Amino acid sequence: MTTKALRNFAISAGTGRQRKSMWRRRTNLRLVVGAALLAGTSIMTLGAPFFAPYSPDFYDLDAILMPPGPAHLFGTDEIGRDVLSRVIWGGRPILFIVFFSTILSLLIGVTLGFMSSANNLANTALSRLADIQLSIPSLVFALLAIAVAGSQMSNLVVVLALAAWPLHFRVVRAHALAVKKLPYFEASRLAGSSLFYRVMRNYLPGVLPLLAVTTSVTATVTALSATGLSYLGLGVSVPDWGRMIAISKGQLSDAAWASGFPALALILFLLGIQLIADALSDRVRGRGGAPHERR
Amino acid sequence: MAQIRQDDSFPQSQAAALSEPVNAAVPDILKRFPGRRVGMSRRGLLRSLLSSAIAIFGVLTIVFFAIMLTGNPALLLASPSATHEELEALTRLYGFDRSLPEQYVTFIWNIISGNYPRSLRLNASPLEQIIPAIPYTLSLAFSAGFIAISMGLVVGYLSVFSRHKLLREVPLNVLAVFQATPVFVIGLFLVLIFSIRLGWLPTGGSGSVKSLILPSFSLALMFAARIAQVFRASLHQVASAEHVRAARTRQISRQEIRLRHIVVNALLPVLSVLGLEIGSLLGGSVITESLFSRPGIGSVLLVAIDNKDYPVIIAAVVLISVIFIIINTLVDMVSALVDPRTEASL
Repeated sequence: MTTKALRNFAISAGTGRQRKSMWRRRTNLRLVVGAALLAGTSIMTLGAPFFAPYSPDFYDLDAILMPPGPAHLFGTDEIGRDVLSRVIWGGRPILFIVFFSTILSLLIGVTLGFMSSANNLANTALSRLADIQLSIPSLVFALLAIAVAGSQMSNLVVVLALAAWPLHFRVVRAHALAVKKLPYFEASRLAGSSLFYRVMRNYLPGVLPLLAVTTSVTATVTALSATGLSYLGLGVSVPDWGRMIAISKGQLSDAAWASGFPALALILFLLGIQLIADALSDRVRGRGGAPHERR
Repeated sequence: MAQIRQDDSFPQSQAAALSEPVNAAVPDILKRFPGRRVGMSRRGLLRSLLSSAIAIFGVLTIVFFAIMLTGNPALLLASPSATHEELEALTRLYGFDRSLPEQYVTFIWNIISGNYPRSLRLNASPLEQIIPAIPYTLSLAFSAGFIAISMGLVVGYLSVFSRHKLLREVPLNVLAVFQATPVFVIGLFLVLIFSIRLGWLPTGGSGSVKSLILPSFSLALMFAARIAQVFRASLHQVASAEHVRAARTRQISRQEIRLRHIVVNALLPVLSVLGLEIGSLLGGSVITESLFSRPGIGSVLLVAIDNKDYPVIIAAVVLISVIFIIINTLVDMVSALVDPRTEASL
């Protein structure tokens, strides 16, 4: 242990410390930019009634496929609806789905993860279940569920949560199994603590940073699946970025704004979540300033 | 150099003594890597086959329960205009009038033996639609996978070893932006540039190799970032390992250290990520096929969903999952083949 620390110090002496702080700055930058993008798109979306200049369904047949101009900042689509208003309103379904589905998957994954540490049987059975869930591609699973149960918002939330829980599950399970062997947990158990107390005070705190990572990763995956579904026309039937792109892609060559602006909004939103996920996972993995090849 | 290699391969004799490789037909090139026992124990092989069999069973079970949850599966699987007798026949064939465990066994047996209910739209076995579509989907998935791997490896390598700051930073971040972009947006963007503006490549179809380029690139750009990131992290990790320091003190050339001591060892995590990413690759191929109007399992599935053609939906979902499981098992086997340590986790 000591020799290892000494060696690391010897290797990273000089440039190492500097590099580490650079790394910190970079992940901080990514975190800040990601949070800003996510907050910006979310605020625009949630405040849609205040920000949108027109109603998303208001159409003006005299102003079909108008290029961006003072009246319509983002132009109009093929039946004369204001693209800016629709972009502002169109984030609602995906925001809603990503938020609730991620929370639901977190609940399922964490609960089953702790359950699996109870005994061997539960461990084997639940791990198998997670493996099986992972062996259906999540988009295909969602398509099956939607075909059978329909594409209401609640179905989408549940289906995408079911496709995503194994990630949380695996992290929590590994952590719980490791903690179980540690003396402090044994001490807590012998002191007669309740199950609830042990979960809350002995298990959860150690796994929270990892859960922050899995949550943000799940949010990206869920967001991508949700937009994919709405692009395929299997999402909810209100204005939605994915659906807008799908509808307006026929005018790609002469009215690129009708699909370009929703695509831009979508990318900014997804990039926001992605940057947060990347920064968090770099932080947690703690490979800051890895001493690599000397030049 | 030969001498160095022999020094390096000291653990080889030990590892070889511990377990006898079954596969005599392992390619020679794998045997040349220093210090690697190549081959897979019989137990590891059996275990990976068993776990893939369990996974396939699990998928069939999920599909079974999805159908059961709708209430009356016979109504779901028969055409809306089916007569009472036809419904009866279907019910008897699938045993929907029997107890749940019996239904389960019958259902799984029918699916495994390829005995699907007839497609409602074409009144033929769904397999007749799906089997011809497999090569299209596989060719798309494989070419996309190939492009993603090559891009990811090159970018990952550059991000660690390049002398120029720009080459270390820019490609990695460009790929990260693509990763956050849905596959249909990338696809439309590529179509806008290469088909509409430049007119070099067709916007869709499946006729030629040319029509494969845009779909595979739009699919590949999603995954290249993931591969690059994993490769980069694992290069960093291996580069700070003991054996690399040892190699450096022995004055082995930098090129030799990079390629033989770092890159080769850093490839393994990439392999395991690849196995996981193939699921999203197959899922993404559904969207890509729809965007470029390519034939394939995804297109069959989407048409079936539009027509509420449940037998075809079931067959397509099962087939895509089975393909995924098979590829995943193969990837697991390859990683166990080149690195015995991963065998324990199979």
